[in-house]
Amino acid sequence: MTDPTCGHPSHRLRLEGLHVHYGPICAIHNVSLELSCGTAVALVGGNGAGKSTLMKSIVGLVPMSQGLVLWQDRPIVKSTREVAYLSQRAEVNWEFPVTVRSLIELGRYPLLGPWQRFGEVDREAVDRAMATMRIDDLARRQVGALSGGQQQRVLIARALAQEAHVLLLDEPFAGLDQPAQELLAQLLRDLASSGRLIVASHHDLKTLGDIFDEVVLLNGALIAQGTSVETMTQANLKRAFGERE
Amino acid sequence: MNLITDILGYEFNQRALLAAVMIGFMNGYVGGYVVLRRGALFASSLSHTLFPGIALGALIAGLNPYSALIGAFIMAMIIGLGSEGVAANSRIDRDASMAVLFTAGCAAGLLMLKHVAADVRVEDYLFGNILGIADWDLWFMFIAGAMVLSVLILFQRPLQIFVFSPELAASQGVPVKLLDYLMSAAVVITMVASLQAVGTLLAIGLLVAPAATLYLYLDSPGLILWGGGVLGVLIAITAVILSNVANLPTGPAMVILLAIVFLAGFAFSPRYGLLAVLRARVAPKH
Repeated sequence: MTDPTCGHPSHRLRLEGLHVHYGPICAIHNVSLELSCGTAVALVGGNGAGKSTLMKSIVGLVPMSQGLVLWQDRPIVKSTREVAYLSQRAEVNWEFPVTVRSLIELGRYPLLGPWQRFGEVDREAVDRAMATMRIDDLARRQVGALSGGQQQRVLIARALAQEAHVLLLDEPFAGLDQPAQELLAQLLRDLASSGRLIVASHHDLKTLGDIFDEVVLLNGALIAQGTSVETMTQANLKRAFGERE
Repeated sequence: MNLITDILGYEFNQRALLAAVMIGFMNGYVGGYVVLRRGALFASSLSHTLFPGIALGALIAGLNPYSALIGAFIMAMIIGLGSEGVAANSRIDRDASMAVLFTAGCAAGLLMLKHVAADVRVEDYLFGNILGIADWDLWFMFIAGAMVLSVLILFQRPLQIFVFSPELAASQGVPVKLLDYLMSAAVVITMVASLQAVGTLLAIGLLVAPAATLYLYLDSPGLILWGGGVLGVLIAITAVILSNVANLPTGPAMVILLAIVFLAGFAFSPRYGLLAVLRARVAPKH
């Protein structure tokens, strides 16, 4: 059976001349990018480089002051289920009284509307998302009783149940121990190989090349885009982590 | 059995029991969202705006159930939306702006009451009097309850995503601002509908306690919402019976009973109770 959550390499997410302001402060300045499904992309930059802002503006959580976001060559609709933003794990209320499976089922709700029954198709989508993220055995656990790595995988599974082709992940590796990081890296690579576009803000420069196909270096403005070897030059790093230009 | 027939023999008791069923369920269900959203402090502040609203209504149209309900509703909406507005347009958060606005409202209410006729029974509005409920109050409870519950049930899917994470909901295209106002309105209408039964001071207890108790037992938002409604009904009915038997005021009896079941849950809930937590702490780890 084909997985409707998978994208296609011809599907592109394009940003054109994106500007975002917080009051008088310019957080994103004239960023243009083209990202293709089937790749894993790291957003790299110092604190305040605009990594979270960039992802939030793509899904409409932060209004852009200028520019365009195009998904499959059409302006992105705020409510598109195909693009999912996952906030930092620390920002989620993990005490919420919900089991792993029920939380992933929330991902199906926007597709169902108010009255449509949660049917076999929905159950299969949830099963598939849980299997992909290897959390089948955690279905009945309360989400607060999970480890950090498991919580991250649950959030991603919820986005997969939503049938997202593009996953925008804010610091997915933050606070995870080594084995959890390795498992998550493997799963993100698998998701990219299956045709999805993975965009994640990332801090560990040593692991960039192992996990991601592409690196986008930011410092408010776009510094460089390419493979980790191409982008991680001394000059670029100085521009990305130095003072704003 | 005799006790039940004795109680049901009085018309005011029949009305009180009907009211208990309606406001018990409405409060328990709506309170589920308040607890899931972690909005009890905001709801508590809102409940304090009802009193100056009653005073305002009394000043304009004399103290009667109609003026009290309309005044309370308008004042809660003004102060609730006003504090949302201050929070949205400044660096002050919603709770801080609410604290300033609702105490100002309370103070204004006290000043206004000075000008209202002296024979008012203000304590009925502060603590409620479910045994003195009129047909009109019952109709109001029924209509308000049906409206609020229908809307919340219609929006239950986006609301559940919203109470889990407003940011996630917004990223999925859920109109979070609208749902936020919708929930505030549901809380105000519920508390106004409960005025006659439990009064402005106790309304917040009836609203929050059932769901807060179930939160200590259950890991399902749906069960907490519907279970909160059922627990609210059971406690409200028990309080009416208890107040007949022991000659106690019903509103306080309701809130005390709810506090008892809440504290019992806090201590003995098998998974999230204090004893369970302590037992887990001392259990040998493998």
